Amino acid sequence: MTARSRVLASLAATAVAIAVTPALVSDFVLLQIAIKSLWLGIAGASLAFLIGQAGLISLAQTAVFGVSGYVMAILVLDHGWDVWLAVAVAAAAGPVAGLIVGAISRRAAGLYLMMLTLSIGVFVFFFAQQYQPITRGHTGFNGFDAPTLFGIDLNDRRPLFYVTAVAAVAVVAGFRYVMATPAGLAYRGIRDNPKRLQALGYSTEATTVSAFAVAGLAAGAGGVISVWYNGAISPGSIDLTRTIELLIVVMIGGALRIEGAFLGALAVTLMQNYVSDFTNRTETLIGAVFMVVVLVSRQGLTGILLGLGSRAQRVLGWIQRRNSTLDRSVTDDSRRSPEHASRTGQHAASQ
Amino acid sequence: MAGVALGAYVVERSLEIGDRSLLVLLNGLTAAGLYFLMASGFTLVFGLVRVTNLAHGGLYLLGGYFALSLQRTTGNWFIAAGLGAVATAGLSTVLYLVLRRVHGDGLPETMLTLGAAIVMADQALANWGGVPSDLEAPAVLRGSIDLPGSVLLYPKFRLSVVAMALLAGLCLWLLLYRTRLGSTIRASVDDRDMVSILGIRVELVFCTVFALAGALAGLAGAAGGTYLSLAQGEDNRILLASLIVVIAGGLGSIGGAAIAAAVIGLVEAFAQTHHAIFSVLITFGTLIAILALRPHGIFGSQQDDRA
Repeated sequence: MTARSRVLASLAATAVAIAVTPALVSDFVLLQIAIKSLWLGIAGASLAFLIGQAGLISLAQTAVFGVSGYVMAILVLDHGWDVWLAVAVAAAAGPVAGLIVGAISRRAAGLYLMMLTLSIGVFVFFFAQQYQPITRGHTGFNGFDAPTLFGIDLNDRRPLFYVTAVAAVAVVAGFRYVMATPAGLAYRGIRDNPKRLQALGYSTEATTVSAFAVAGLAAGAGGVISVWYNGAISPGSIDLTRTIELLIVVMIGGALRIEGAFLGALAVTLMQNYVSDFTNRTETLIGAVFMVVVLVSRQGLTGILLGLGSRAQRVLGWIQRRNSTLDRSVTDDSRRSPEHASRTGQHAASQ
Repeated sequence: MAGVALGAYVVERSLEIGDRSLLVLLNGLTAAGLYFLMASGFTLVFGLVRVTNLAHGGLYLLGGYFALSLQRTTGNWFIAAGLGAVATAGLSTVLYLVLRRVHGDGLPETMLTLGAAIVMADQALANWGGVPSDLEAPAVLRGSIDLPGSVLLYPKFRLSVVAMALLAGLCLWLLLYRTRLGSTIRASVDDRDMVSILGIRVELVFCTVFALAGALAGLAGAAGGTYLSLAQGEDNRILLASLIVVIAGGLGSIGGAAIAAAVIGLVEAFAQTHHAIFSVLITFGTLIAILALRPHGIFGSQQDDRA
């Protein structure tokens, strides 16, 4: 398969999966699991992009997420703006917030970056909690009505699911596009070897700032959709617990692939919803699962799945080789026949 | 330097304004004592193993709760705090044994400590409930004393936290600079591989440092649980505070941690008194400014790229 047809095939498969999901699952699952893990995954994707591509472990993504959510809520509920206009401004606020975070932390790396972004995140949280005139303080904003799109009310779960799913696909496609551009290569450059990147004439600081801005767009989109979904935003939506949750989503899913964030979001959402049926210690379980995943694979669940996949492929390949050896021992001369050679050649290529 | 100047300014102003400022000063120093107990262990672990131990707050909370339960059975604060510290030292050692299984640039280790922090917080909630509770101060340290030159009374126990931190600092200094184990630890901070080549079992040194840090966190938990209180979220609050101290002081430096603890404690106490609503914003704003201008902390060295 060519690259183009592979992309089209996976897009078609995703479209079918999105189209049939509401018919297959109960309303509860659609609302509590599917939509929740999609918007959590969108926010997670922004962090997965920063960690996996640019090697920037940011704990300020929940803050960016919150800025967009708050901007929309403030413009609509306090200033009576048209919802879609507010959505547009909120969506633009994401990259701007990302730009500011990036500009502040452009020189920090590794652990210090983590601490710096953590302080930015905590700062934004406390600002939301303390600065009542703008943010309404502790209670935040309640009673936000999701907008209508082409006459369809997004307060209904099915349309909301479709819109969120389309946004998720767009986010993944957008990140994949960025990753394929020279800028994407530069991001992997700051991850792998910043000194070399500098030697090649790139500004690592500018590259870092732009990575934060790109990630800010997705984090902002996640923030906007989360407010549609929850109908509310408060300091509790962006506190340290949420920041850690987002990090766990990405680390459980695996940061090397953008899609991993959705897998991680699904895993965390499932645990949050179903573990409480048999124990109250949901957090203990999430923490323990997180530790086990980190111990088993640095690339999270995607790493484990890909590892299983390649192992299965190896086993399959071994079986195939064994069978062909058996064939050969039966029909000894066929080894030399050009037809067989081309067939084994194809085997090797398809593996 | 800016931090020291700011601290000096705060102290100077505090002395000028009199009673209320004497309180600010004392509150600041008490907070600083607690922060130093936390930060010294944290910074030691980081300097040695390059791990940001995000479970350090959890160890604080559990240390406090252990001491609480032990005080209810034994009735003695000192025994309770001591045994609680032993228990958290054990927990910290277990944590090290888990961390040893991954080798990386610090990220997987940090993530493991994050997982451990979540488990610890949840277990604290499960075993001790969500209602804030506190330890009773030991009989000798109960009550207040008159402050010289003022009409104010100040709780004895809070002052003794400062003494405790000073004592812990002195013991740490003696351990690090006057014993063989101390020189091994310092050598391992500088060049882990060389120490290992010289035939010293570095793993054992690491294990000891983790246990020591755990004990300090547990002790801080008992002290904090007595003059503040133990509750859900306290682990994160104290972790954030000690992170600020450690970062400002330069990761891995005990002396830096001591100075930064004093500065941060005073700034915080000052901000709480004069701008109560924005005190946290001031503290974190200061940290953001410090890190944006000096990405390796005030006293951190610029060439330290291993972090």
